[in-house]
Amino acid sequence: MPTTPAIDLETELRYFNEHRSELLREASGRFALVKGDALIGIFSSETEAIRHGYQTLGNVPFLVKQVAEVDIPLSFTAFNLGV
Amino acid sequence: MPSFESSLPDLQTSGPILQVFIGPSRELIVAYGTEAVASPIPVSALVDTGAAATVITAETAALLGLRSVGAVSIHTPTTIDPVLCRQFHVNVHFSPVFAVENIVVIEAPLTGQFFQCLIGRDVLSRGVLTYDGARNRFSITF
Repeated sequence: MPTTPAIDLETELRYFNEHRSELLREASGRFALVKGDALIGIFSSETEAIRHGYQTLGNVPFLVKQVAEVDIPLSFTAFNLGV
Repeated sequence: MPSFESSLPDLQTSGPILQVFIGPSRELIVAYGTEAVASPIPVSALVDTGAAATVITAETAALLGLRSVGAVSIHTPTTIDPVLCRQFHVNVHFSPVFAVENIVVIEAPLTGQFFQCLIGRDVLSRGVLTYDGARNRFSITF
């Protein structure tokens, strides 16, 4: 999948995708907080997961992602985005 | 209810553009305090009902010292395959006393545009957008 130039969460995304099946069994619909190749926690809301990330990891890149079977891309109908 | 109205000479040509301030999210401020995070910065923003989420540029994220909190794939009319974009957690300030807080926005280049932000349906889901083309004005009420 093409990416914008500076995606800095390759490790976290790889971990999430490699563990998606087991996450689905345990936490479908909830939000995973991943740093590096470690699952930090599972949370009921996106904001809760981000709050925990800031409090425990600091202002560093981390991945918060909803546990779902597939990722549905967001749509943008305008031509403004240079991607 | 806070309401933000803008009148433009030619709304059809310019589109619904207003100035907002993008700043670190409430959650980041609570975690580190206002002294430790960047102050909100002004950007020109286009209200875009075709945008599933709010968009900021990499330059805005860098100026604010933001770190990514996620990544999401997007489709645009010019993409064949989905494109993966970083996400950041921000507040969108419409005035000194009102902000839409804790929004997960997308980073994308707004190449060749005279605005640095798209206000998407994530923000609009919290209010009412009125577009009065005949009078060249629009408003957002929260």
